[in-house]
Amino acid sequence: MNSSQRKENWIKIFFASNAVTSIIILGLITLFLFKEGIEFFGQYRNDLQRYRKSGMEYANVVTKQHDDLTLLYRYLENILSQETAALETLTTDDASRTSAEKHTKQMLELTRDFQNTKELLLIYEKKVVKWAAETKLFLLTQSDMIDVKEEALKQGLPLEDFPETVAQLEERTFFTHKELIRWQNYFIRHQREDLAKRINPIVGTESGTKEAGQITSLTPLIQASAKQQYAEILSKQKIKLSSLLNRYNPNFILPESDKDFTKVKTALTEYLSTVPLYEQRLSEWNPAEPYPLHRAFSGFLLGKDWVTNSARQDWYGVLPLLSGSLLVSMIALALAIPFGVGSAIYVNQVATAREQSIIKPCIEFISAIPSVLIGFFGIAVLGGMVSFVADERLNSLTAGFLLALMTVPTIFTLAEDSLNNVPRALRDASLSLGANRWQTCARVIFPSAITGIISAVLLGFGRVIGETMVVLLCAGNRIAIPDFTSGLGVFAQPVHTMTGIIAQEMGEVEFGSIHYRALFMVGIALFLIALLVNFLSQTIAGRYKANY
Amino acid sequence: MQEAITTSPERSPSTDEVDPIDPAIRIRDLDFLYGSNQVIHNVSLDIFPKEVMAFIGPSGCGKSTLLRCLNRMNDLVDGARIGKGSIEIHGVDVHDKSVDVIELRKKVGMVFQKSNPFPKSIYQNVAYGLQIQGVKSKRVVDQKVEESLRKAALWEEVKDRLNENAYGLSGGQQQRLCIARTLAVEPEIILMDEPCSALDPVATGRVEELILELKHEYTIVVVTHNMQQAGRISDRTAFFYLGKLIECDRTKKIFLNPSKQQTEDYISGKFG
Ligand SMILES: Nc1ncnc2c1ncn2[C@@H]1O[C@H](COP(=O)(O)OP(=O)(O)OP(=O)(O)O)[C@@H](O)[C@H]1O
Ligand SMILES: [Mg+2]
Repeated sequence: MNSSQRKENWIKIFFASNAVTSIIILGLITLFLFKEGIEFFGQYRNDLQRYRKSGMEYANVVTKQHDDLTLLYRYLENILSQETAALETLTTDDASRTSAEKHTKQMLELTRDFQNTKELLLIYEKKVVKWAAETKLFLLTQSDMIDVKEEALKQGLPLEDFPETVAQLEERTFFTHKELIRWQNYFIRHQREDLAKRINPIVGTESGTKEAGQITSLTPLIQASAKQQYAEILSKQKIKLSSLLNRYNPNFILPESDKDFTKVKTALTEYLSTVPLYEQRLSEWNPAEPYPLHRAFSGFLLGKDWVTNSARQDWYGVLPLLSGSLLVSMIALALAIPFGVGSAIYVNQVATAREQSIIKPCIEFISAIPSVLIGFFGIAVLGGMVSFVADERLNSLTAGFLLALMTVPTIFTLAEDSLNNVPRALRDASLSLGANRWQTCARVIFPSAITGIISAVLLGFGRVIGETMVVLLCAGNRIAIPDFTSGLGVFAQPVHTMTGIIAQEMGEVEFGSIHYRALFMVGIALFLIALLVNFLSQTIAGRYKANY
Repeated sequence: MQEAITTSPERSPSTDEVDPIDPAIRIRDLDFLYGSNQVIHNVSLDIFPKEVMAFIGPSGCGKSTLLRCLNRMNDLVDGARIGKGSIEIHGVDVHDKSVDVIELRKKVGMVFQKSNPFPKSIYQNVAYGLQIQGVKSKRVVDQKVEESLRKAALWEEVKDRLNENAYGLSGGQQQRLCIARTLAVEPEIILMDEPCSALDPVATGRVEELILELKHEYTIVVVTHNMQQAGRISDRTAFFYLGKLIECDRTKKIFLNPSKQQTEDYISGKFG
């Protein structure tokens, strides 16, 4: 092997190693993401299992029922206040006044009655929630204790003071405050602060159901109460509400009160028809029933709620974030495509060399603006402009506008490239056949470049959906699925995004917690979307190259 | 019509003689510049209806440039302009402001060196010129497509695959498709810039036959580097050197008995 060959080999190795390194790093990122994220499902399942076992699932059903009833009550209250106000306008010597007074009084009584009925359910709900909360705490403590015990066994700590086996711990239905402190002190003595920290003894001290200083599983209590108390409440409620529905027929002062009251009656009938469903759901509640793993999957992929740090139960559904991200991206693309592709066509087909030398660098410079500055602009200027059409300054429209601004360069540059790549000969052929510049552009150049333009748009989409700073600052950060039934109003709703939530919450979560892993899962979802978009744009671009 | 054509090749014995027929293209004292670089110097030349005129000359002598002046394709080049002189087609100065370039290009079709079909179907390629003119009737377009493909001697080969992409055709077929595409617009003059330079001898032969066929109906100007080809297909030949027209005469005369030394040197292969 002579020296020039050797040199060539070294150059080859250098470039090959660069390529290999980037591939390895990509692989490592993927691996890391999946490793951190994938445990989410197991943890989430366990958490949902606790949600069921603790009775919080049960309590939430009662809450939901109470909410339904509250809504009805608000309607009644409205009618009452509007009637009272109408009564004020009648003068004392008005003939109809006495009868109106009587009716308003009746209405007041009715509303009170309704409230009392509602109150019964509310009291019950509060009680169940309290029991469930304590039970959940117990379950968390129990699983912590089991973890700590297992860990201590693995590490060979002398545990003769705590002879309970893991299986025995699993059978426990309470822990005392003292006991927990004893465990904690033990670990501190053995210089195992990490294990000590995982035991939280400041719990269960104000339980009203068992002696203070003890944290107990109250599942049996909830089960028992479900049978008796709930049934009693329901039967009382049914009687009250149906009598209200059938007997009461007031004479309202205002005609709209009449209409409203009819509405309340229909709503009430509807409510009464749903009561058996609630009843059934509650009687079917079985704390021992295992929570299937696939429900954790579907809970993530199709879950409509993303609720964290909740007193009752955290929900990690990706839908509100995904739909927020997609909505913002769609707005951005809807704006960026015409501008990006339009200016690419102008620059490529119409502009003089001088115009080109001004427009191109200007557009390309946009991508050099730090996104946080674009966010400033969004908050300070654009938000104010957007608030003419929306209730809030910061919403998907604000963020969409800014993201459009940020993607125009991507789309412009790539689309211009692909227009430029259309062979001159095709343009000449078209012109020599008597086509004018626009016909040539529309019928030959644009169609020939279309695959390149599509892949430009896809890459623009990849950029938009991965953009973080602008959406975090300007999308409004309300975690909710946009209300697509509100027509154009959907664009003016504040949303939260996948990137935004990661940036916002990652700094605060406890390492290794469900929340932490849920954020990684969101990251994985984002990663897969980016991968898909890239793959699509590459296949399309590949097809396009094969054309010439 | 046939009769008129059979007599035509003999009508222009030489440029110095006054010709009784009006030329289709009349170039007078033409200077042409790319920016400050003058590439055509004082060229005067007549091209008569229904003849095949061949432009020959060494590379860079301005054959393509002159050809592209005829249908004003040079308009697209920044800084390209006429210095002096004029080009008249049927008595109308093509560089006059009142001339509609679109109309001019319909009348003066062009076939390029490298076949350049559109990335569309065979049918769409031929129909393109009609469609941009706004011809809607499918019947008319169908008819014209078939007619043009027949004239370009391509119909038999492609009639069963009209809707396939034109890129599936061979190089020679593609070039004939480009000719058919030009014919569909019904030009009077067809400009061909080295139409066979990318083709193998068989495909070249077919295009040459086609040119001989087409000259019955069209005035054809063809640029070629291939002397034999010029001899086979053209009625008259113009030899250019360094942007100047050295000699233009009947092809036989140019090849057998050129009046200028430079022409003889070029044809005999002494340079170029
Ligand atoms: N677009 C252009 N801009 C500037 N100069 C050009 C351009 N096109 C051609 N030229 C110059 O004009 C001169 C004539 O070119 P032209 O293409 O007409 O030659 P040609 O005779 O067709 O040559 P060939 O046989 O190689 O095709 C050359 O010197 C060339 O460099
Ligand atoms: Mg040339």
